[in-house]
Amino acid sequence: MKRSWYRVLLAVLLPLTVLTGCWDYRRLDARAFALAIALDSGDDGQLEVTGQFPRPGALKGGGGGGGGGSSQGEEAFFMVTGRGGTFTEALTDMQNMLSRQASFGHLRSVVVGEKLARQGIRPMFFELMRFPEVDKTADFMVALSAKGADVLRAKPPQEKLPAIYLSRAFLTIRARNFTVPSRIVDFYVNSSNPGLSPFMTSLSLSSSKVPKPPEGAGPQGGGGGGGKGKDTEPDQISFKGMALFSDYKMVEKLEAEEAQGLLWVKGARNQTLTLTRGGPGGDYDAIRNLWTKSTMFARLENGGLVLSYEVNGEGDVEQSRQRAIRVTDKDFRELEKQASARITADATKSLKKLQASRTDILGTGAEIRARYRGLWVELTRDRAWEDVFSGARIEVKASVKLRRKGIIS
Amino acid sequence: MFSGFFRRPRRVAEIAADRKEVREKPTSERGPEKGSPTGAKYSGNLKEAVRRLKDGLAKSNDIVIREFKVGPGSGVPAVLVFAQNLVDKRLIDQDILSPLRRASLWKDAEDVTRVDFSSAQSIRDHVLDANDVKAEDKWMQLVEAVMIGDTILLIDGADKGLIIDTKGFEHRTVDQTNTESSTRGSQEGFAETLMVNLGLLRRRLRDENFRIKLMKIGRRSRTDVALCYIEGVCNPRVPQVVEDRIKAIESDEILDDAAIGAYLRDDPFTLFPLDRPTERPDFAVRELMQGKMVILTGNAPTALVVPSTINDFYRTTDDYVHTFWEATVIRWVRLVAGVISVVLLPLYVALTAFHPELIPTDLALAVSGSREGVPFPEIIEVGIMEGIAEILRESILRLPKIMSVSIGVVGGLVLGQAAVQAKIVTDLMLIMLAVTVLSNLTAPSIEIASAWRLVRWMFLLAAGFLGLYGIVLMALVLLAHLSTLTSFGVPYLAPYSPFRWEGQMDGLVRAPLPALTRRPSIYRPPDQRRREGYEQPDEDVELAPVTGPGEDGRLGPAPGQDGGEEDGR
Repeated sequence: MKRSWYRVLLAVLLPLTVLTGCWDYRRLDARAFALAIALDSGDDGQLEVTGQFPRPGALKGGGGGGGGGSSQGEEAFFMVTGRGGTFTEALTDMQNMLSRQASFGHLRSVVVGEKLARQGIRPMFFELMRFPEVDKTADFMVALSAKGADVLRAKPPQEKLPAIYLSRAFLTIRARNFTVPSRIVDFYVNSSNPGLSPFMTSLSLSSSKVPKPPEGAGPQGGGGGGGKGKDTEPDQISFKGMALFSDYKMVEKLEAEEAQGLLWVKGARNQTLTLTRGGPGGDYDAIRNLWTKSTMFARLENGGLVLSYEVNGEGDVEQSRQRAIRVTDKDFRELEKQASARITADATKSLKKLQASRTDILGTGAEIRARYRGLWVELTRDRAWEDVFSGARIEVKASVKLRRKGIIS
Repeated sequence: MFSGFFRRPRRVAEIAADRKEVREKPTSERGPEKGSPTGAKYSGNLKEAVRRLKDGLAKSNDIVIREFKVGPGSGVPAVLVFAQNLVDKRLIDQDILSPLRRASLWKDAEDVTRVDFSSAQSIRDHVLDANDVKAEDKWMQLVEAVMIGDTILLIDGADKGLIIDTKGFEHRTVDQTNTESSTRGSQEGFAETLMVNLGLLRRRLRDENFRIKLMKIGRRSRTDVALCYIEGVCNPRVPQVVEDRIKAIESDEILDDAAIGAYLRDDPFTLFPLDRPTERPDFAVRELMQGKMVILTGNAPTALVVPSTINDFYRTTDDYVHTFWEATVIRWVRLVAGVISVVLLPLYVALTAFHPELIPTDLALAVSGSREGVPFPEIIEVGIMEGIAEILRESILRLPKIMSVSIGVVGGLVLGQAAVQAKIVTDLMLIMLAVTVLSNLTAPSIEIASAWRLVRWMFLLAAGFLGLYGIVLMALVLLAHLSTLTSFGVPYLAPYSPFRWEGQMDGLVRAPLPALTRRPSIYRPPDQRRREGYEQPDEDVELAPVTGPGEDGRLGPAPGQDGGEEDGR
């Protein structure tokens, strides 16, 4: 006890000598938090990195009291666009325009413009992966027919910050399983797996003010946000489907229904399936709380690969307006058959589209690699998996079971 | 931890030899009165004795020397000496003066011959009415007796003087405790009078093995110290060591238990209290039953419980009067609050200044927003507010009680609110400060609370310089230090380290009382079993059926169910 002091002293002093890395004291109010960044391809081919930084002062109390009007009230955020040949150069350029040190510890979303996505994001993606400040679980998405910066500039009225809107929306997506949410790390894992293709959630912009189709064609001016008219300024962001990537290049996009079709195969939670009959206003049945699980079987037939997906679903009957008077087991069996057929059709259609674009975002290849090792080795001996996949024959067998039959009045 | 800086560690034998030397020093070198001839005796020379008194003790005006004559006929000169502010004068009149006067008037030959006025023993046996009378010839003892409120009777020609107990000074009566209140059970707290305090213990502990050992320490103050323990429950080494250490105290004043505690502790330089002070007799008795010692000091309303582990500072009487669920929950509340009080502010500093990415985004933005315009870095901000809190705490403690409420309002509300408005600190900071201060005060013992308060400053500095790394580092240093501490040989972190099973039953969890069958083994009690395992008799507890009102109109048990006894009343 009496002689322990110098040990304590050593324990304190020795680590101090290797402490240079920990000396990163910086006041909170001397940092600018980038909550979201957008990656775009500029007109001159340079990379544009746009950061969205909140103004903490404006966020705090200004909402109610301050001039929240549509005119020149202080915005809750500001955007800075840096340009450069590489991601790092662009970041440096961006930092040069900031009074505070840019900090990416709170980065929640990375939006990639479609143009850049189609050109390929390989170099900046790896720079992003190696950038230590960035949380790799940040959401990763593609802005369809728009620049990423435009998405960050859009002002959905629900939240003060578009970045917060994006991350909250992703939370909701994750909870509701509406479409498949993607993160930086998912993209990385998928792209490094030979039996799996990367994808990103895609989103599109629209305006609630002018009923005009989201035509895209982002601002042409390279000046970081062109002078567009206020009326057509997009203020709605919708998450519609997925962007499919191959070799770090966006090759195809799935619309909402197509993404839903894939979801049945991937495993859906709490989905609603509506079966309509006749025209609008006609008879319809809805199956709610539909959960699906699927199993994939692979076999060779005449030297060709056959992929067979068995989708099993269970759900509750929500609405059956016409047959409310007399519901028989036969009716339910009929309904089950219809739902199964619908799921089979949707899933097959989506899978066909995947095949056409040579992207396997479901990870069928990874599954074969794990479960049918010999088959995998044989198939990929002289061909890439994507080619094998696109040439395979697809079978989907769906069977839906209905529960809570007695509840219908 | 730091004692090594100041002193070469010494072997037990060396220290013991040193102590022996102290003990064997001739009394003249450490006796109470340097001037008076120590070792002197009273042997009947009253004139010499009075002269000596007037030269020494009676130079103070509160010492009364009452000269009178005693014995048949013209009698022999005698004096009563007492300190008028310490005695009950009625006792002197009733029990000393009037019996002596009566004895002087005795005519009856039988009576007269029975008493030998030259023998102190004879006067004690036949004349005095007082209940506690001792014959004493050592001059030092006589003088000391005057000082504690006894009266001494010196008779010319008698072989010895007499010490008569006439203590009767003003003192506070037994009252509610100030610092350790409880919601149920006894509300008595120790008073300032040693004998009253010992009585409070005795009343709760009617065990013949309950030992009270009285000592006097302090060269000039001659303070009474009582060492209390239960023989057969307390490890015999503990009273021995305590006595040795107390005897080794070389000081002219020991005013209260805190001074003794400062001498007794194993590590004089640690921040942490190593002896648990308590104002509650019931708490003291509970600790005695665990195999510990209680040290009571004259003129101090607190008892020291030794040896003490960190666990003891988080125990209260309330823990034992409520259900074990409640007791366990409040212990955890104290524990969590204790941790909060130490690390909340340092964490704020570390997270905001070093690792903002660890805070949820919304909170980071909120903090960042409220810090907008605050001119100081976080560590200074926390330092300012903590400093203000310390000043408030001290000023409220020192102020006259009447003013303390208003000052509290001024300090707490106005200062805090104004500091936020003036953008010197953030509102978040203010909330955290309040939580910290409140959490700190959940510790049942103010001693441990102030220790943690000081530890918090260290954590703050560490967090301000090194961030989370500093906090972890500081926690390690703290843990290392705590694990080196002992209290009379008992590790401070017991029963967690070293781990003891039966200690866990009354540690972070308080097991139901019947389950606490063993005393904590870390104290090595000779008698380990506290109670036998309790087995409830398996009886039918269905209540006896009650019939309707009987003939006499009273409700009574059904016939044949002990009805006769009821009728007999």
